[in-house]
Amino acid sequence: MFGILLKLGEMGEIFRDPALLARSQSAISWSMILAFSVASLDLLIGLPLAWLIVRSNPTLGSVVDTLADIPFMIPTVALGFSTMIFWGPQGPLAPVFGGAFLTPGLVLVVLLHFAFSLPVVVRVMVGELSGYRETFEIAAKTLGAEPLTAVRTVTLPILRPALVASFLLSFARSLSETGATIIVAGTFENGPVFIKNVKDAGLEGALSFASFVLIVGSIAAFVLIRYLGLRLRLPVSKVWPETERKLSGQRAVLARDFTVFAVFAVIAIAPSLFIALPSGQAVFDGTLSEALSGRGVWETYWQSLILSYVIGIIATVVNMLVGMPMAVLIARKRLGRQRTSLIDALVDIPIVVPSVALGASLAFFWRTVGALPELLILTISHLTITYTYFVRTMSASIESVPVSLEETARTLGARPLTVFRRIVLPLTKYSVLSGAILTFTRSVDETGATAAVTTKLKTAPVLLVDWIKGTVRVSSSTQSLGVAMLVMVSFVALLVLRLALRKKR
Amino acid sequence: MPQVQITGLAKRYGSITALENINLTIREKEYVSIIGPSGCGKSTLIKCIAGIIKPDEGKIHINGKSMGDVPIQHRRIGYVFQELTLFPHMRIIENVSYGPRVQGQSLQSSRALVSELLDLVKLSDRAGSFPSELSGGAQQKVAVSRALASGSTLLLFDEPFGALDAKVRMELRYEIKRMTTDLGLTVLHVTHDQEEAMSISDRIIVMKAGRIVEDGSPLELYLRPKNIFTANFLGEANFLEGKVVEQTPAGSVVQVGDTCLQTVDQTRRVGEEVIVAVRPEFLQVTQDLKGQNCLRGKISGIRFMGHMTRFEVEVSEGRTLSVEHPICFGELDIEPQDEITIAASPPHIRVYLVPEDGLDRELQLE
Amino acid sequence: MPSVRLVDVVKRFGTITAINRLSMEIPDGEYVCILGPTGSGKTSLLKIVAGLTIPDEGEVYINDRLVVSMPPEERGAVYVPQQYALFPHMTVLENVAFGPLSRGTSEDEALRTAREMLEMMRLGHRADSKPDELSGGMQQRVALARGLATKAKLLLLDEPLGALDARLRVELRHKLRELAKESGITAIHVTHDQAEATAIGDQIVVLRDGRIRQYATPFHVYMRPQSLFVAYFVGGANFFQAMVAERHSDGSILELNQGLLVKVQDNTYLPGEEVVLVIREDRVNVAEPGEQIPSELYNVVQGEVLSSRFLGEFISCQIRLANGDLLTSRTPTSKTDRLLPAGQKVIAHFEPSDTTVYSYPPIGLTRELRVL
Repeated sequence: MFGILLKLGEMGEIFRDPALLARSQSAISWSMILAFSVASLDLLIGLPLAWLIVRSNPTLGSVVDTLADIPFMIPTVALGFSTMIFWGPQGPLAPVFGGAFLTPGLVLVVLLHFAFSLPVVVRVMVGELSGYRETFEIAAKTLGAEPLTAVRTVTLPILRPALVASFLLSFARSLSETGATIIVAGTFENGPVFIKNVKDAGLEGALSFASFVLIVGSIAAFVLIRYLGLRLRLPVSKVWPETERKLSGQRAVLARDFTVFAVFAVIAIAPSLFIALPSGQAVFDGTLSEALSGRGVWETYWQSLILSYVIGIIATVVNMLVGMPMAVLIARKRLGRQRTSLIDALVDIPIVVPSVALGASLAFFWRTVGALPELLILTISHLTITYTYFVRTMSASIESVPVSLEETARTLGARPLTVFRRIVLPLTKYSVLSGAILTFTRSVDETGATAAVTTKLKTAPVLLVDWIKGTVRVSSSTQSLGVAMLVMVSFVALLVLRLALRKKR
Repeated sequence: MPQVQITGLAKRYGSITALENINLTIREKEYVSIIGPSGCGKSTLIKCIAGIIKPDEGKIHINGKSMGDVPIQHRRIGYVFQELTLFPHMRIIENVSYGPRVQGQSLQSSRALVSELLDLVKLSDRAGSFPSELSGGAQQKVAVSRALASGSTLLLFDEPFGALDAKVRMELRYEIKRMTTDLGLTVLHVTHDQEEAMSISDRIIVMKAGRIVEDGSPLELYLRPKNIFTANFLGEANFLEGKVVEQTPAGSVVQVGDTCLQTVDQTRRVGEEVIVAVRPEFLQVTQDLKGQNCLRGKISGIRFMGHMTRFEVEVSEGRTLSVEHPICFGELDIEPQDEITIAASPPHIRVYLVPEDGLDRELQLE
Repeated sequence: MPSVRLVDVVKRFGTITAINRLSMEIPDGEYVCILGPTGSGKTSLLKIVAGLTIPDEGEVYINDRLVVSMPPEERGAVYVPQQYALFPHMTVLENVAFGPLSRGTSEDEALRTAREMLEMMRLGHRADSKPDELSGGMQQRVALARGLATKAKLLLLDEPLGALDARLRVELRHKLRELAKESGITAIHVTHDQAEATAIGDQIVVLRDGRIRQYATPFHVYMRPQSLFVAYFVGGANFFQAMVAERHSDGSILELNQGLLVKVQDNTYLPGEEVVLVIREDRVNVAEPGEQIPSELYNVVQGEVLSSRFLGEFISCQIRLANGDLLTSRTPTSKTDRLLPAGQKVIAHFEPSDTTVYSYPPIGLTRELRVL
């Protein structure tokens, strides 16, 4: 669909500046290393966590399930800010260490990325595990395999595609994230941070170069990981009966669950929720009234917030209209198996490619093609980035509606449109809601592309980054409140989504 | 020593009783089928034996040992599921050798056993294929080999042929039966198909609504069912209402409509309201109008089914009986609307008390 | 009432030819069973008639109208898949009313028709239930009611009893046929169960690898199977490799294993030809020594019982004949309920008119009859 985003209006000004070149190379390599490590950590912690949610007692499972979503419900900018202050001098660990435990830099970036990409892995794996036919595992046990052996030799290999998919998703998230990373990066640079810095410095050549390499690099990494992930032969045949029996025992399981949960709570949950504290303070120290009056910096804030929401709504509505037919096309393979896979892959591109690079290339493209107002370019970039979410959600949902329902309906006398309206839509209505909300929140959350595209207009997250990094000077309580209010709407929207989905189940 | 002994087994899910007061004994080398309608608890029962489901009450002893809290992987029982559960990411040979391998044996040492088993099911040439390359029937054969490779002498089959074509089922059941008999194994085979159960079992257990209704050899249960549900479940039967009017040394005489039927029943008293059951193939068309147990009626339907002809005969007050006439008894010159006489011999007329909930509810299949 | 006609229909899926130049005609009001193993093309055939699959070649006529380009909703042919495809988000009543509503009937009218249909199926009291609250047999009745409510005259049933227990299948299959006959509908009923097809079909179409092997009444398919496959697929039969020894005007003499001579009614094959002799299991008579046997010269063979099985309606006996061949016999339980013990000496005999002969298949007997 949006293959044009690949049309990078290359400025070809690959600078002969060796220092800049070296810096860009290092930034991009760091992006890859970071993304890979974070994704691996996510699987390591996320898989046992998903296991806990699906296989242990239902009440505990539900609680952890809900908790697991929290980092996801918060715009990344907010998460970045929250993480920074959690581990910083105002955080709970500060008194213990007499000062900031961690300052902005690589470690903080890792913790941040881990926190916001973990829910992705958990979501995907919980979905897979819930639908997984336990019969395979039970069959393995009837053949004498201890539970751990059964899982390792049978369940995991069968779930491999899902493991690879969730790995790739968290890999992509880490590669792409801009806003929060900028906040906690300090002097560390990964791809998106470098691009932002270089843009601010006006170095267009370096900007286009880095974007290009980042796009190519990420697509290459994707293809490589996917290929290897699905084909690599793993040591599934080795068995250690005695050790595995002990590891399957109750105490081992308990220890595992506890550790995993603790890591999750400390690194992901606590920082996410931490924003509540300073913003709570801000409510009481008069900043709130200042905010509501719209005086001073708050004027631009409200403008940015409204801009964010307007773009969000436009992106959502347009994507729903354009995405629905595409989803049907993919789900029902209308154009034949091979063409459908191709389209499928194309639709995935906006997720694979880091948004900041996407934004930059879009900006170049539209600027070279013809002068378009910045607002339009901004909206288009948001459209492109969020397109995938709606199409993916809808196509998966439509696929789960048995074709036989549609076939029978047609022979009963219903025309194709009637079939869609009376059969497919009612059965997928929750996904329509789900897809719409995901699209909206992703758009509001989006920082990278916006930062790359705009010069004058600022959406809320971009504005907040400026506030926090000190480009615009504001008090710390103003920062906190600003972030908190951004969180509010997204949080509420996603909470509504959860409740609606709960009802369905 | 019996191989499997179950006492007082019960399992409930909320207000639904899946199993109630199950007592049964299985001897070594027996091939026992458990049959019953959907929801009767047969699957739950063997899952309890395998350790997949934990019963609420009762004891399960296998080879004399109480199974109590023994987990699935330590019970040493072979299990074949209805769904195809060959591990899709492993080749046939890896699937079949899985059991020995997870118990510590290397691929080499189990090779001989695996070859033998694959030979038995005539699939040695597919050892290197993946499950998705085999037909459903072939996959189930491999599943049986896999279950056997772990060395257990007790096999549990949970509707293993349920997902297969009728013809494939028929061939497979004999092949598997031959294999298990040759190897001297004990088998507990759950199925909803009475024909399947009768053709291969030493003994059949009939279940309904969580309880065991009756158990016996196929022949006993088919010709002399003690329970009216068994009579209807194991094959077709015609049911007629009547009253016991006389008790003779040969058996009770039951009046059905205007006719008196001589039976071999010794249990019912004069005056009792009863239901009489006769299988369609035991009703024979006769020219002897004065013979024993004759019923007069009119042909309301004829179907030529190849190996037999099926007549619907209206006997009285809208009651229609099905009559099956095998071709080998000779062709009959009969047209629809003809008046005919049918008769059944006393041993083929079974007598039962009228069920409390009424006949329809008692015979209900779902 | 519609009739259905297919002319030279071909359908391919990639390299597989699902329907291979198939021509067939189904008269008004008939209940026709299409019988074949999985993969024989039965479902594709049904979907082509329904308009859900477009054939690559050939013509389809419903009521003498060419319908190949007509969309499914206009054909008046209702398709009922194996799992019934009841709409899970609608109540039973809404499901049944769906057809009339989609065709433009007013809501009142549609609901009234729906209620009538449900009453006819004795399901009126479940009108407001959701499909997943009903048992398998009830769901099937709802699916049928839904189809009949559209007043369509052609019913396409894809393994309608497949999802039900064996005993339930036997009980409900006659009701299916009754329903179709009472409503004056033409029905095409696809199944892999030959007992089912034999029990309720006016005609049986035996399908294999996308081609029709025989199209005849159950009686003819059983008594005079046109090919080895039909003989094998419908009912139990014995197959013997043989060679034609003599050929006369009233039949032939075949030579089996170890020189055993058998008299058959068929005289199509020439002396020296390799053939297959087929005898239905229930046409074999088993007599114990001392019993009276007809004084025919041929077709009386000594043998020994290998095993006996009680099958309910029949007793099946595996006999090792004097010439080494294996013979299976089926005797109705109403004739005798004695199981002959292994080792018992017996005499097997059968009439020439109960045999059929076919040419020996080039790929060998086992491969030809491969179903497993």
